[in-house]
Amino acid sequence: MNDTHCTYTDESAGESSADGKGCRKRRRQCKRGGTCKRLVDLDCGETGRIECVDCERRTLHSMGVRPGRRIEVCTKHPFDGPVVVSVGRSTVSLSRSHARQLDVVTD
Amino acid sequence: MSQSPTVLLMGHPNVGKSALFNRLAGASISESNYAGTTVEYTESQLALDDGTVPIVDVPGTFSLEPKDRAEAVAVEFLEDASDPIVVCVVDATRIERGLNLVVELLDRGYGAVVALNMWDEARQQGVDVDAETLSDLLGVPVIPTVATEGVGVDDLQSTLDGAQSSSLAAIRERLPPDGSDLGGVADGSGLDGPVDGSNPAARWDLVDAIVESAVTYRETAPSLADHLGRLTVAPKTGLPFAVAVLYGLWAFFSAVAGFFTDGYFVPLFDDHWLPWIQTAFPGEGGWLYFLLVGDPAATNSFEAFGVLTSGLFVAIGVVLPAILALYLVLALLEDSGYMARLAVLLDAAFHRIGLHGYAIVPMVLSFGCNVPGVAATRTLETDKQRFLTMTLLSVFIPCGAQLGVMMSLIPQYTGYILLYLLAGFFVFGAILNRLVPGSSPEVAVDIPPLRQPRLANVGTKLSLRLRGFMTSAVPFVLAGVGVVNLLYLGGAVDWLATALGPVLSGWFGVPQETVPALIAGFMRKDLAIAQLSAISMSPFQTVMSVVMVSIYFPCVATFAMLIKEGRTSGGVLRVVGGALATLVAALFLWGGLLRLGGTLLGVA
Amino acid sequence: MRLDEAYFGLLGAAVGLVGMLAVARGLGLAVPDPQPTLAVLTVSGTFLLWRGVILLSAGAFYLYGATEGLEDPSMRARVFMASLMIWIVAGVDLLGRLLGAIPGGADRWVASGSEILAAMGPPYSPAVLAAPLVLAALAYRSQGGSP
Repeated sequence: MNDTHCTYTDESAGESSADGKGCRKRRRQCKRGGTCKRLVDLDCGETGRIECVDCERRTLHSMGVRPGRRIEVCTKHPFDGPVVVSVGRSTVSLSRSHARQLDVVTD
Repeated sequence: MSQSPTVLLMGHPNVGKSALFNRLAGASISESNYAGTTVEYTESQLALDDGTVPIVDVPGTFSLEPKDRAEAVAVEFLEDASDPIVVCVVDATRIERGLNLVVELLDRGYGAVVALNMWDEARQQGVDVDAETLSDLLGVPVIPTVATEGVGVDDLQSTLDGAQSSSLAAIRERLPPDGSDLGGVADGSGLDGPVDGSNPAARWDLVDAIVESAVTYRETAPSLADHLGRLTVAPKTGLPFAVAVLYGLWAFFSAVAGFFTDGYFVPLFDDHWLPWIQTAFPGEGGWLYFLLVGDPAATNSFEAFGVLTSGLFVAIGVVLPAILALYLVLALLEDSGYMARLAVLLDAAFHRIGLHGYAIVPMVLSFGCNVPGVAATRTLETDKQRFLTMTLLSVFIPCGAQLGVMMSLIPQYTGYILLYLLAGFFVFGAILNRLVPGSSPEVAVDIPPLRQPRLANVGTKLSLRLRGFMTSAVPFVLAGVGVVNLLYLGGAVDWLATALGPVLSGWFGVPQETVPALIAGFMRKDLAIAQLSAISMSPFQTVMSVVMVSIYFPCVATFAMLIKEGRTSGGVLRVVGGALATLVAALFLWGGLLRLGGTLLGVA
Repeated sequence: MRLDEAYFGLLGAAVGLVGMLAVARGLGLAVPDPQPTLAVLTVSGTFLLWRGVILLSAGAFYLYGATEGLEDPSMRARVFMASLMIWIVAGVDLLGRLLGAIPGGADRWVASGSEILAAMGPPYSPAVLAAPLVLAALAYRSQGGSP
């Protein structure tokens, strides 16, 4: 069984903000090689299994975006706009910075 | 258990809490602000077998670890209430997320009843929940409900006395022992570790185990609504649809507001109320008369300038219908789930100025009337965002009345004027975003499925909003008119006109005759524009002066709202002072730029 | 499915063309109003440019759906969405006319029934004419599962 348990280098309860401050966590490299990507690097329609949710993990967790779940990218909005994903039967719009910090293992 | 417990309706946003609340609540529903915040909640009285208890529709929260003000208020309700009965409303179609909240509540020791709402939709979408098994597992009553139809509400009410607390350890013991079925979910902490607030992963494991036992998923094809939901949030298909919706919103507003204002309130006030009060009110010629009734020779309610004439007219005849039309459309958009999609489509544009997609709500409202637009900023998260939005709207967004007059008098320029103002909105927004201290947190937005808006829901929301507006905003508007009148009496306005005249004509190149129109714009900008069109000016001067009227000062009603909202958004002085500073800067810089452009192009 | 593909294809072309006309007139280009030749249709009024954009997009969606094949439920949804756009524009147009006609003016509170009816008569804007034609899309509500 794959190890999908995230190890956090830095306990951070901060929110990420539009001005880039608040998320003190440095983005770690994915544990695995080619199949593990950042959410923001996926194309529309691609699916995968969530590996790790960095900043704001508790908020996203309670919305259903949590490790081990299947995630599908619905749309990516231009001009650095939000990324709309569906996890289970929920649809959530994530900001680009959230999407950069979410690692997904693609199928 | 019997010392007046409070019933708290808790749950995620968009699970139908309000619909359930409306079903359970008695006749008297009141909406209030949580002390010291702009977060609103509704409460009423619930009739149980042995008397009535207060019931509160708590703001939606995703978890008991709050991420924003509204959620923090929800948690405070929970903690402050003595012996609350929590009705946790869960969206049956997205049952895992809902159960996560239920488990959190039980973990903290609260007595709960689970209302499994949207039961009918769950069946259609292939989510079959065995409510009895779920209830046995959780140790609390689980009632399937369809709040919009009223199904299950009576059952819910009768079980409220039986709300129990439960412990997570007990739940775990009741789960079937085949742990091998739980493959694929987060491990490491397993089910043996402590399940408490500091270990959300373990809590989710528990939720997954519960779902495994009590819920079966059937494969169903996506429905039309599911497809529509995707199409409306994707940019290529969603943006044209958004244009249609926004156009429809605007046209609806114009039709309804125009119907009430121009069709009925104007003749009512001008032909009946005004002449009557002009003769009936005693002491003609005295200052009290002037303050309350205004100019005795005035023939329309606008020019009269009295608190009881112009003030009432503006508040009831102009702003009230605008509010009615706008809040109706807003309620429809929210209830159908489209609002979230609109916010996502426009999010990228707003990010540049430190706001996010939901700022579209106050902005769209302001195109109808700035007053509800400013009021709507209270939904934004931080003081900085609220200040930014309020200021930008009142300076750069022309209200419906203004736009209407612009389009009938100078239709060929209206489009360009509007574009110039919108450009100013974003440019100044970007500048202010850097100057104003504070943060603009990013949000993840939950997008509910598209649903048919229910008339009952919309009706209740509307009447609450209207009532709130009438009681809170109207006094401010009337006071504002009174103050303006005092200024007139004191001669301050005349002094301003003579002092500013040379500045205005010098910097902006408009003739001195426009000054009275600009002063009049303080009351109602649309009539100021009408007055301007009567002055003979070159086309460029007309455009210039219209832009000036739009920017230079919010109408008295909006100004009153700014003061009112400023109190809860960082202090009146800071908000109003900042707004005025921005206004002056915008007027001179953006207006000056326009003049410069005109001179360079040779049309000034 | 072939019949509805042909139907919406034609409709899409027609709506799209009228949309282009509206956009052109909205931009101020010297294109005449079709009303003299086609008494029921008039391409004029406020926000003409935006209405033209909406019509043009709706027409494009119809054509896209018709060419991609309406067996695909997401294409049917696209056609339904385009119809929603047309109904919104048509609906507020008619509402505006109705609400504009009801107040009676200087001497009466409510205008007479015949006056109101007269205000609702032709010529109509393109969306109003298209609205009944696209009612066919309602059939997709039950096909794709009820919302």
